[in-house]
Amino acid sequence: MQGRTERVKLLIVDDHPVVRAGLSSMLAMHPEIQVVDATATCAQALESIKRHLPHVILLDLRMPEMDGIAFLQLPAALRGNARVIVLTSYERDEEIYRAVQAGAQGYLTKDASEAEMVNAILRVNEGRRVIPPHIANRLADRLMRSTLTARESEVLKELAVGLTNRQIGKRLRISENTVRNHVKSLLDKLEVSDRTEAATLALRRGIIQIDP
Amino acid sequence: MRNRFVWRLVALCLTFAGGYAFLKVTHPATQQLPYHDHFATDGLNGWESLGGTWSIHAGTLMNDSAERGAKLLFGSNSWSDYSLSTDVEILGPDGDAGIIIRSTDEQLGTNAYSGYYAGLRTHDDRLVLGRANYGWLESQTIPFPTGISTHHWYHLELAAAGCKIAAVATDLLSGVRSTVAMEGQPCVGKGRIGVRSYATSARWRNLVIAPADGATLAALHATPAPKEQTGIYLPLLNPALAAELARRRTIAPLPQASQLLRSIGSLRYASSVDPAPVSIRGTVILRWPMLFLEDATGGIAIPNEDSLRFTLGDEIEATGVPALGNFSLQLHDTKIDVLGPGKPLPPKSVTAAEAATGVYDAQYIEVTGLVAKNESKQEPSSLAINSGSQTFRVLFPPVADGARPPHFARNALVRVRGVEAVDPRLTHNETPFVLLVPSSDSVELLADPPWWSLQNMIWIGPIGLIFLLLTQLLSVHVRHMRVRAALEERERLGREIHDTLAQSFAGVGYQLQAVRSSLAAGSPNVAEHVNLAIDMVRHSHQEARRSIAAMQPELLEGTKLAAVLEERARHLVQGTPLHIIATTTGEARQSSPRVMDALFRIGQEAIANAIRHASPATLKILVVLDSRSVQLVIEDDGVGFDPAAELPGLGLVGMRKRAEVVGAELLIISRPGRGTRVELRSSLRRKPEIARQFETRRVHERHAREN
Repeated sequence: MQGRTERVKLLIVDDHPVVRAGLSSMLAMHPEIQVVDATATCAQALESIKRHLPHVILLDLRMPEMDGIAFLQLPAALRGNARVIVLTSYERDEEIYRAVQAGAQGYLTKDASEAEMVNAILRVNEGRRVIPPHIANRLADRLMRSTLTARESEVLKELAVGLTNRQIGKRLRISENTVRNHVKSLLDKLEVSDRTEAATLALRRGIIQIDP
Repeated sequence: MRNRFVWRLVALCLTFAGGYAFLKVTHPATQQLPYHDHFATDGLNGWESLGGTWSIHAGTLMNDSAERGAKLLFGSNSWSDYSLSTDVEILGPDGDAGIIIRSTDEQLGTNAYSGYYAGLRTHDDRLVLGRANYGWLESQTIPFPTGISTHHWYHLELAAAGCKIAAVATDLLSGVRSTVAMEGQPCVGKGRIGVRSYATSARWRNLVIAPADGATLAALHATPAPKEQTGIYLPLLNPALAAELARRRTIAPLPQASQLLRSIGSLRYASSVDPAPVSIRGTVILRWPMLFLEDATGGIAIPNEDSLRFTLGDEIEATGVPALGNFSLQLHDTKIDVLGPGKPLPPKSVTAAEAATGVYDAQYIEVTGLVAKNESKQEPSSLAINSGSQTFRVLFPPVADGARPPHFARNALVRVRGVEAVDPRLTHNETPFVLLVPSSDSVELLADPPWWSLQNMIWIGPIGLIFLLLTQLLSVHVRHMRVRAALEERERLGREIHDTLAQSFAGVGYQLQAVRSSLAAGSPNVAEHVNLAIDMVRHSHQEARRSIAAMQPELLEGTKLAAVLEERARHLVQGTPLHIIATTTGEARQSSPRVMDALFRIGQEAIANAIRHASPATLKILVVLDSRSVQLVIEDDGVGFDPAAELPGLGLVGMRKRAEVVGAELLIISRPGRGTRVELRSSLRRKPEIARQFETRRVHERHAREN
């Protein structure tokens, strides 16, 4: 939808100042790309979008206040229909899955080379999806597994805290038996044998998260 | 509805019926006259004892104590004109025994009742009649013509009609009788009956209560004293007593000690083919189930004798035919003469093994042992005792109705005093001997069973097991928590590195690529790019140092927190004249790394704010540690600010959120021109770490929604 001659307007959203500065410097060296702004939070990003109408947004997933996924889940109009490339240092299955599901057109890790990154920005701007092969593999892995239901995820979270079925039931206001059924079903889905393993796996895959 | 009414009616009827039956059972005082008590079937049901040791043997009521004024009461307080007659026998040398009528208001004590008493007194050989009203008012006494003997039955009748009271006593052997009477106003009009003895054991039998009137009283006075009267009573006696009475009548002079007295021990070796009667003297050592005598050489059983008329310790001369049957010595066809009261013999202390040889047969002995089994359900109740390798049984005499048979805990150490019997009819060949005890007091508890009894072990075992199991579970849980905590901490460190070092490296990497690109393009701002890269590296280095500082163990204990913050503050001011006061009070406490990290970061932010925006002259850093919380206060005397105004630059939102994440209270007090005080308090009470992390997540989500 943009002409070839037009430069790609890029917005960088990352809470780490060094990353913001480095990315800006690096991408500014490319004539096809115009870094219109670099913001530390999603709120600032929304302000900036109104002003600069970027074509592509490089989005970090993990940020204080509103994280990348939440940002992605906002109505597309709010972000000026800009396409979003998730740029993160995580490559956990669940995060990739959630980001793609939330509408990210690209998924890059921060160790991606300059060329990869520029290439990805340009291709996403053209309306294509960019997911590097190794990430695509993991995503495929994740898609093969059955998804936990919302209730199962909730139960899994409480379970990882170390609560018993009864306590979980009390907290979620469901019966202990129901909790037991959920636990059984999620153990099956995660293909683990016990609760501890489920909790560890859930943390490792990023199904549930611990904030620092 | 109707159904329910019927049920209620039925329940009501049942209640009344039950109540009536209960009253009937518990209040036999509503007994109708005439009443006749043979003391054969009903036991002491309905009788009330005040003092004394009461029991019933073969139709005879007995008080086996020398208590002064022991009473046994019966009947209804509404009885007024009636006569009470009974046979009475005095067993002790010095006292009196008799009957009470129209008794009310009875209590324990010598004359503690209100009523009339007629009795036979041995020490002055009199028939007495009088009124008791918590004191004794003797109305009339009369010497009994033939004297009053112990171990001798008299018939006593006491009747009341209106205010006239009369009593008559009759010697059942000779027929000699005496009458006494009294009349007085005011008189006790109503009351129940009783038997009473004073300072002696006594026996009563053939108790009859009949309605009386003036004619009855007159008859009492008038009735001559025919000797044949006694014959009337004979059929009422039990056969053994009747035989005894008959025999006594024929034995005019009591047997003389003409025959040579033998020692009991020597009878054991007497030839059984010679059934010649012998005379022995001994002390009464047991009365139940038969009379036992013991002298210095041994003991002997005297069956078929009315043993209850003797008292333990009585000196007795007995003449009869000795027989040695079933390893035990017995005296048959006995004639007995009471020589006088004596002292009960002390028991010989022997071991069960010695007793098992049978040497102490029919002798009063004392054995200690452990209780093996209570058999109180059987009659007579008994106790199995283990002593060494021997087991023997203790047979108790029958107890009065209502009294509980003695019960001893298994394996309790007891000392038993009783008369040994090796008779197979008693031992059933199950034990080498049994001990016949005079009363349940003869078994004395020396020591309770040890706590490590089998029964206790059976209890302790499972409880111990459960306890062990719980401990095990707990330790597993603790280990689990510890592993979890370690994992969490590792996770936290990983994130810390990711959020600082990894980001920095990525950023610096991008910057270097920019440098490379500008070099390749021959761009003039290469130096600029390189300078930015250097700044980035410095920033990253600082960040890394901060992370490391936050991991110092001293910081975790809280004691170094103030010092580290002070160092940061000095680093920030870099030479400008700011007076910094850092104070720590309280002792080091182990607290969560996350909490201390949060305190550190919030403190750092507050200090940075103060130095950057408030231009203070003094900065106070105060850390207060106590047993439950850690408190951090950063106070400056700078320009202050209006808390109502939104000041995004101060990072207050970030501070608040950090505090919320670790569950700390954050209080920021400031007014323009009055300085700023940041107070932060965190409870040290542990909360599951992950739980807090999820709370954190919720906080994030909420913020996300709000924003």
